[in-house]
Amino acid sequence: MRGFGRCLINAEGLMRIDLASNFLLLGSEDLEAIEFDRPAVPLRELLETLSSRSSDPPEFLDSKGGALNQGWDIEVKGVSFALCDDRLDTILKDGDKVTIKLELLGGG
Amino acid sequence: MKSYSVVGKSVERTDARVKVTGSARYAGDLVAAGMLHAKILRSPVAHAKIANIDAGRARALPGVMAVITGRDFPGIPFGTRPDIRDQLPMPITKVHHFGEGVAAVAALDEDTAEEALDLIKVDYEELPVVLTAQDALAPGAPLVNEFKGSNIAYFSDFLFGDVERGFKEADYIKEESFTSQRTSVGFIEPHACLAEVDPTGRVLLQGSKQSPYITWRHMCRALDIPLSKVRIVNPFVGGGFSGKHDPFDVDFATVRLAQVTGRPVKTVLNYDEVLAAYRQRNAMDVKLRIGIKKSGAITALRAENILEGGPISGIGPFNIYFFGAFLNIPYKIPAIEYHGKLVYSNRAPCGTVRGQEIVLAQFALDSLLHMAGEDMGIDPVKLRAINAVTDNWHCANGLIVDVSGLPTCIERAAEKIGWKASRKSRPEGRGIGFSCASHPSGTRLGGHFGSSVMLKLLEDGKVVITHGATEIGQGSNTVFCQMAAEELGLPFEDIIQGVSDSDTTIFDSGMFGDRATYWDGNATIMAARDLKRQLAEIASPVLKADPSEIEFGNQRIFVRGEPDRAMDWILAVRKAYYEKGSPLYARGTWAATDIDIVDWKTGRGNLSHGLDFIATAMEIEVDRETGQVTLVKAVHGDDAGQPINPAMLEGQANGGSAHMTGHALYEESLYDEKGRVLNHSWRDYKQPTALDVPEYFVEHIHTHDPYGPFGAKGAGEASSCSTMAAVANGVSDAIGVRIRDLPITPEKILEALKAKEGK
Repeated sequence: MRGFGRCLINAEGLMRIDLASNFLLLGSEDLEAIEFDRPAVPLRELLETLSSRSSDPPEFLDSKGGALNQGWDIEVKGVSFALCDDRLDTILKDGDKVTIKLELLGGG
Repeated sequence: MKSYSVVGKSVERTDARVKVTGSARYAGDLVAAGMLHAKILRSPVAHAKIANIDAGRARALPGVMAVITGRDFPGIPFGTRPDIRDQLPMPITKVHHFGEGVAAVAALDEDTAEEALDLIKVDYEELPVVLTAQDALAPGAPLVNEFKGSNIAYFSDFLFGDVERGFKEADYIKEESFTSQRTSVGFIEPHACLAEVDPTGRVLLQGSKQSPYITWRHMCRALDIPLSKVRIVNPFVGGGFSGKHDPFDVDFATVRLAQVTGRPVKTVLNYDEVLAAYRQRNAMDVKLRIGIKKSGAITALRAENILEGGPISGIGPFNIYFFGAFLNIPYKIPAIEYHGKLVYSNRAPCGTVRGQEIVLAQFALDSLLHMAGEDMGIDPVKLRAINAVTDNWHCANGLIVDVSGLPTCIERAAEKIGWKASRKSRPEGRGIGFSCASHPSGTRLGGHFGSSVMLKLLEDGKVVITHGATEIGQGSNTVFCQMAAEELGLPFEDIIQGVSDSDTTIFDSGMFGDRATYWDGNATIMAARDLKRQLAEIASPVLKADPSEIEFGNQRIFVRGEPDRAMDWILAVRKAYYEKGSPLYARGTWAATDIDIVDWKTGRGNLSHGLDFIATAMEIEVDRETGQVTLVKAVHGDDAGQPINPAMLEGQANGGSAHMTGHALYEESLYDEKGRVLNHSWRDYKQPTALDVPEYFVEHIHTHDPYGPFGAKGAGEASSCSTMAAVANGVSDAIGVRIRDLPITPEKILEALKAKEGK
């Protein structure tokens, strides 16, 4: 799925979240936006949905499912995840942008 | 060029005397009261399910205090990238390569621990072995890594510029394939560590680690303990070359045994274990296609690369990425298409070795360029000069070359080796191989990849410097002391290297990618300026000047333009301590936030400042009867910006080259059909010694990098990148045969000669 742009909620009630990343979000392919059939979703659900669609599901959430796993540099609407008061329960609405970058641990 | 007091001088290394006199304490030298000794039981098979491990008899052996296996860890995988976490501290359900550690014993002495290993019974159910990239990619191939549903660990597809148009514009197109073998890393000190756990459960790990920060983060994740519960102190490290970044089973097992027994535990590997089971360089298969105009200018390049990487991805994604992204240097190539794959296998895990996979990319590219030049009748040196990147060159992927001394490097190397004279005549069997390369001075891999330095001003006026860059033998401690001394206006001897301790040292991401001199050097200057600012606040009322007018030099603090309006450095220090009661600490950080974070999808961006350029010319003699290659003489024209310590810089340039002569000519980790390593001892795995390398000369091409500390660039890896093609091109020049698959052994040379002669 590529190249979805921003748009308003349509008559069917779909809403789109724009995505940006420095790696292929779905493992073997990229994704520039994602649709949901509700007017608002929490960030947690966005991450779980991305993971479920990936060929190699990345573990965004820790093993207990309660917190963001180390290694992800996320911005929600231009604000660092660390500064989002509602953390994974931060609500996303149509046209919002989420940026996900890798935090690497390694060198060569 | 600016003249400095300390920078640019070949001062004695801060660690020279302790090392050459045998006083330096490495991890293997450390002792702790009540210490136990650990040994690791290793898999004799390359790929198998672990059906059962029975350690009962081992535990019952007198003197054995604990036995652990993979099941004694939480089972949390870790990895370099958060989307590819495919490693465990020790295997739980299956072994992935010959020599993988499956159990560990802690005992009162080494002999008892060794004896206990023989009492551990492991039931293996062998699985088919995946040895090569071809095996891994074959339909129905067994899966190597249990965390991945494919044997493709990673891939990259990059496109820079218009490649189709580039090939259409070319007057000459050449395509060739090149291969490279598995090699070991080559540090002298084997893996070793000492782990202790205090009564609060806090772990102290002292190990031979190249990047303690990386070790710390991975270990805390895989052990499922908070970061604050682990402290890492670095002893002396006997070489790394990118083989000691990650935590290994030896580190995890030692810590876990310390936790289980409540006593300090030390593990020191023997080198057979290192050669069998620890980090190696990927095997490579690459196909390159190059387009060149009649003028000699390159118009396009296409590369398809497969790296075989062992059973974990590790830093394999970096290797794939670097290979492709840095095809953009050292030559002006307006269009590049790159496809790279990393595949799993049941051979030893791969990291990388000095030079990253730019070493392999440059071997292939510079060999192909040389071959094309021969076909087109263009002098090899001239061909490189035509295509060498120059100042302010914008590469096809967005990388900006701020300063390039490469054209001068080429000219000086050619002159020094006697290139022109050699074209008129040279002895039978003698040739000269030419190659160029470039290496970035660290890339920006993420927000936390910054460098930090702390300075502590002592009451006697000396300054203690601590940093997280990790001295592994390359001399970083010395150059940081030189930079601090220069900036502070103090003698070199007044700067003291502090201990690398995570409790007191500001960590940084570590020692790799030629980043330390550049990134930590800049952080050192920032820290020194912070200290000067604080001292200026103290001195300015005394000197009746504004703090902004205060300068430092020759252990004096003075008003700019009025050297007689001054006070001694030590007086300002005493005022801070004894009048104000305020000991002074300073810190500096540098994170190159003006360059782009790596874009793994596209390979695009201005990825690095401080590109180190090198032109290597190597005179080679080949014996047609035996195929033996003798490296006679090598000249490096090296642009590392402002040399901080010229003697050490030469050591880096020559050492990086010497290291790769082994890869070029004879090093290879050999495996049988079942994936068992055949030559995991120094008797059988040959690395170059001082007797095997050429007589080296370094021509410093002195440039000034606008972002580098005092104008310096990184150094130590560019020469690794240029050497293998120089050797291959030299063999070709000497006897007219081209070897495309490394290592270039006497057998391959004799075969090639026979084929050339139609025999």
